[in-house]
Amino acid sequence: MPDLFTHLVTARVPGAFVRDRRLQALLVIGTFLPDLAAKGMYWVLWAGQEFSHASHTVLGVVLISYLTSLFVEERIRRPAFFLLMAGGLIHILIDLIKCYLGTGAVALLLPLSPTSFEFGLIKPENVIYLVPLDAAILAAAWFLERRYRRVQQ
Amino acid sequence: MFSDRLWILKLVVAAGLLGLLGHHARKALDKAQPEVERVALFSDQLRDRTLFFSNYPVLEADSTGVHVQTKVGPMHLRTTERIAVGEVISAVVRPVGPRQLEAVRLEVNEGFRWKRPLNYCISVLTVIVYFLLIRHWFRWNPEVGLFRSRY
Repeated sequence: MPDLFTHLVTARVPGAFVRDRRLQALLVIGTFLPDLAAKGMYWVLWAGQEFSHASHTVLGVVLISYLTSLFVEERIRRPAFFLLMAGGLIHILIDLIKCYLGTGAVALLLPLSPTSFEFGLIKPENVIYLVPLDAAILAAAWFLERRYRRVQQ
Repeated sequence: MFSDRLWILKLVVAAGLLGLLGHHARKALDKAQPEVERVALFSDQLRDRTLFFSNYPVLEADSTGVHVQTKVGPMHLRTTERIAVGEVISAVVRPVGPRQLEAVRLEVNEGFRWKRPLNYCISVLTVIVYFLLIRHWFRWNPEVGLFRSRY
């Protein structure tokens, strides 16, 4: 789960290039989905930590995105699926920066391989220190996007 | 694949596949990365393996190491590092006997007790605020999909 604010920012910045605001929102929702699904499996379904790892795999992201896209109206379902999936993959990419002492943060290739991967750049709880930086990036992206829209108008 | 035809069937199949993936993940990860709690019943299967645990509190410290609180009670962890009682640690360990571990790599998680809840608070707030902000772009309409554009 920690920290969805960082995940929001990492999706919101590329989301600035998506014109349709609903699709932009779906890209951000896509970055929330792996954690929301994992916590849902763990806390609601009592499925266990290993079971909920499925939400942080490439195949898991595809399935969760497809499931979610089924709740979107048919007309935009296809782009919604791809944007939800892009958001989910961005989420996994960001989770890879966490350090689990070399044991791996994400087993992203399940069911093909149980090998876990990590870049090991930051302790999981220390993502809290990224919040001010995230806020600055988000503010800059929002400002630039507004300016760009004004110029377009 | 993206049409409304057989909508329920598609939903059930996708949910079922996700369930199967979760089941497979549980089996595969349990084999590849067994939980440290298994060391409570030490066996030869665990010999020469390295295990990982994260965010376990230190209950006691002695000259040979520390006692950490696991889900199945305290375990002794041999380490040369000086760690204060009450600290929260993560470690890669090697089982050496029943409830006996030897640290291969160890890390003290300073500030874990405030960082973890703050992380969760920020995350929950982020989701709530974001959904409130975007709610006007969608409207609830189950007949044609739950999110329907206002445009």
